[in-house]
Amino acid sequence: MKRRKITGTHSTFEGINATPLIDVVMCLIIFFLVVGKLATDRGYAVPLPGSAVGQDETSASILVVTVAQRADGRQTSGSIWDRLGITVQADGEVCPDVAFLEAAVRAKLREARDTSIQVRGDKFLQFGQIEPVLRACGQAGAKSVRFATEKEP
Amino acid sequence: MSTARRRKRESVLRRRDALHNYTMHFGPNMTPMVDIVMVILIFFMATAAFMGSEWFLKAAIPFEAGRGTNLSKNNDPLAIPLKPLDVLMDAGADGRTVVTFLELNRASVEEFIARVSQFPRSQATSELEVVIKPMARVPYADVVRVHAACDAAGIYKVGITMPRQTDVPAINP
Repeated sequence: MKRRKITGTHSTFEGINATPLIDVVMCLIIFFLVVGKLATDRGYAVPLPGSAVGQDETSASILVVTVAQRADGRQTSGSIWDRLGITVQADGEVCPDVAFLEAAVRAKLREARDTSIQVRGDKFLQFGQIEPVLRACGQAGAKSVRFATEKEP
Repeated sequence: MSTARRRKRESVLRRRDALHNYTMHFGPNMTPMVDIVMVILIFFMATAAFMGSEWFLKAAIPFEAGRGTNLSKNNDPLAIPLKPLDVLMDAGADGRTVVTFLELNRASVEEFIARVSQFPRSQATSELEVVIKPMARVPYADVVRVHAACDAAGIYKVGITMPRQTDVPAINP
């Protein structure tokens, strides 16, 4: 009677309990899925200008327009972006010309009227390099844009 | 060992074992819950740090048509006029950005920030429309500084556009 009880207790502690391991691994998988999605949403990393004020993004629909300085200065397609020495991406997709950017903005606005256009401009750019991007957004029907800035204390 | 002593020892052992089992199996198993809560905690800490590093300045893209004509709200003669105020920006001779705004003429960005921070914190200020008009060679970072100064002063209706031909003489006298 007593012996059976001891072996019974033993058998419950035999082997590794996999439940916490599976829990943690599943949480890690979800974590990396979410972080991976966020990382792609951020698009091309550019040094942002700093500002001490600003609002957080509240809109559900977002279009990220990244304006980066062209590193090599090489002209590839002869578009206006080439003449300005910039590369423009809409939601991580390279825009070869203005028409492409306008189409991307228009498509997003058709999807959701309150789409927020986030302009992530390199802080070393001149306004003349950003302005055609703003003009394209305006042409596509955007009423406003949001300039992404780095939080400053 | 006598039978009495063995029984006594067994009963003590059995009692300890039962107590052990009792403490081990009392209530729900907290280990998986604690694991998950810790991972969730780390997740939210990481995303908070991730999301908190930047924020946004909203700017309208003004259109020439239908802009600046709505003066119906301007009944109080002492109120700040509601037609858009232009902030003209240009690069100065030494490469520094200069700003023309109200009585400021080709003043530095710092002077503009000081001037705009004098605006009263009132309803009129929050309804004020400001259009930033930078020349092409103005650094984008300075445009953002001017925009942030307007936001900090309580001017929330900020637009950004290229200067028109009629603005250019005011910027480059």
